[in-house]
Amino acid sequence: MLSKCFKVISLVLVLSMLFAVVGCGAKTASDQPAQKTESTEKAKPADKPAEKVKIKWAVWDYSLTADYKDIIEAFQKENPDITVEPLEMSNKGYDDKLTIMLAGGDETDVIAIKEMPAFSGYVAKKQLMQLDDFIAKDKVDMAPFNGITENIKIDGKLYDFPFRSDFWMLYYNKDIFDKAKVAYPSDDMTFEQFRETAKKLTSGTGKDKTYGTFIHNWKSCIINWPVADKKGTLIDGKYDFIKPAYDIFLPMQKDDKSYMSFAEAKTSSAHYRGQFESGKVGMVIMGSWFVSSLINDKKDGKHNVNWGVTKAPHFNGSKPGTTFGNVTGNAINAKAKNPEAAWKFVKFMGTEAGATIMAKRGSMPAYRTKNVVDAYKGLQGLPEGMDKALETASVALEFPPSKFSAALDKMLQEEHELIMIGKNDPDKGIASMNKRAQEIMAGN
Amino acid sequence: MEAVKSISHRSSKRNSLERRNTLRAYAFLLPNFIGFLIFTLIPVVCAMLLSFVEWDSANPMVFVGLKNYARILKDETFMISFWNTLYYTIGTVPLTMVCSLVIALVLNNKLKGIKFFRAAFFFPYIVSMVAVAVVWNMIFHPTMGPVNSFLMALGIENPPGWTASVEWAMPAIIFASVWRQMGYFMVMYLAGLQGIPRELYEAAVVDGANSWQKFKNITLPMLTPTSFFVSVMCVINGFKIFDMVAVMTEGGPGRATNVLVLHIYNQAFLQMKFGYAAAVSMVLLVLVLSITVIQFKGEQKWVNYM
Repeated sequence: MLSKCFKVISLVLVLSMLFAVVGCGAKTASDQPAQKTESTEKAKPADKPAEKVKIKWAVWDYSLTADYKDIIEAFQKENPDITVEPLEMSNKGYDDKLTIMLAGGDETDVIAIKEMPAFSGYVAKKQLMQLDDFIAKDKVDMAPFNGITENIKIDGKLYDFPFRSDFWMLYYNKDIFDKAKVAYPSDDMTFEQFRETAKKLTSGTGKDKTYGTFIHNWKSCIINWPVADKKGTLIDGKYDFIKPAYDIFLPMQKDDKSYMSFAEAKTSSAHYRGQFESGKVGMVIMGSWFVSSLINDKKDGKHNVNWGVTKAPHFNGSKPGTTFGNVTGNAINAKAKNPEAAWKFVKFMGTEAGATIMAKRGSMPAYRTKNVVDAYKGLQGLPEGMDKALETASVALEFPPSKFSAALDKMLQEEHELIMIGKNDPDKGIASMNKRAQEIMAGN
Repeated sequence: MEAVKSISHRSSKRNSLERRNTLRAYAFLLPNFIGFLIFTLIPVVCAMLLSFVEWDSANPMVFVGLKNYARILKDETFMISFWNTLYYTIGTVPLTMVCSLVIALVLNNKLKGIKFFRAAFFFPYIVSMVAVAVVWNMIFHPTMGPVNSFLMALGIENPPGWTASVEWAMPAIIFASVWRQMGYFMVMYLAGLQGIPRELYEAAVVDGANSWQKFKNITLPMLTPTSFFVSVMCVINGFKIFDMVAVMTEGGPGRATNVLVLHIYNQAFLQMKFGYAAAVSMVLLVLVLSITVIQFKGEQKWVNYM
């Protein structure tokens, strides 16, 4: 009897677990309750006779980015009839969460766009409003965007109104250069020179180890340099053009050992910010967002690095100032409750008013009039050399929008990892990238 | 006549009592069943239907018949994930069973503070998965982790790169998983061990059996129902593996630790192929179901119910 009972119980348990297996995979958007925006009626009707519109803004790391709060305050001062309510999400998994929210019919009005692959997906799913009509109606001057908006159009239409446009530069620790008696990097440095310099700066072992540079585990830190040269783009499906990057960075890892190996950086989750601020890394090539981190962290006493900045290195034969960049912008949800108010906010943040606030906080605004650039240059704590670093010859878009972006992005990261840990040599790895890209683009 | 009436009356009374009892039993089952229906059964049926369509969560669904299933056969990442899942399951099941049995045997003694040790071994199971994975990533750190420091102290010049190497990432995940779940199965083995009648051992001692003979001829056979249950649960857990991989390696390096559930997740939530992801999860369901059926079929051969 007992054994029978035991059998039945175990059978039931087993079955329920089995279903849980599939249940996991099957939990789609349908059981994710749409996060209802709080209805506007609720917002104290007795307060003011004028109707107050409330817009929700989905954004990552809201509380870590001081600019956002300043912008909302300034915007609300100018538009007393609109309140902006930020919906904070974490940096990691931001796009996964947004995907589910949007699929569930969420009505958040404004959505900050973090990365191109996910953005392309939202547009393909018709979840965002196209902004061209708004722009035409308000006669927004698009010239100060310097063509950035052209690069992120999908089928000739703009869905993402940029507010920040970062590009990559070289940051260096002056003390390490002085100690090693090496001249500071010039604004016209080739990758060969970069390699030599990194090698000279590397010294010590164990706790006293000083590395010439630090390469974050993102694939963009390496394979985007040929992209900056406009030899091809990451959505072409043919990746032979990225090999020169491996020819520089792989020997640096293997022979010179002038940066922490990919495997070690990845398993210890080493972060460029902590690494550079620890004062044990000579140079870091990173996006311009790093400027404000370095300034603010120094103000907060988190580091005491005597840092400088200059143009990122370039390949032999290209112009100094050849670099790549990332665009961050706002989009309006196709299901937005208050698209008009949302557009007001998007426009405010993206143009002169918002851009000046961001510049004062050390972020690189996409909208660059003379006033905005002056505000940026007037920043306290900005190192010398900034003027030159800011002059770019050309800024290539890291990942142009495409419906295959998400799949290609993941595939490239996987194959890049195998090359970096030495499992595949670059030729084999690139051949594999080409092959898998063909499969992805064939719709498999 | 009177007697017959009273009997029939009594029996109808008993019937109604029985019915009431049955209803009461169902009433107790109902809340659980409703939960099962809403959160498990209906989503499973939805997934089954989804597997015949193409859907990106926003644009209208397109019925494609068996195309999603045909695509699975051509999907290299699916095959890699399938073999990885199998590797993981074959790695974890025996190891978990042996480890949890050994610990249960040790902890089945009347020692001072035994409760503390039992709790200590169960502890990993209730710790947050993310914390476990982060700690194991540190333990397996290629240059500074204790595992490789130890191996290098032993004179091994090139210790494995663990989670940063294609060959060793999966063993690293297997070790971490075994450590995490063995406490849970240890509890089951402990319960099994305590259910073995003492007389059997006493009789064996009278017959002059030594410890090994007692273990082999009494403990192991008496534990077969527990072992069976543990093996079934372990196999299902193995096929379901997701969290450990997602936090420790995210399927990398490359696709070296990509497992089926991770593949389903990536297809659905990164690439917006909900139909295809549903088809893969159906394949997973059939796979696990058939293995479980085989296990139940084999049950009579080795499981010993008293």
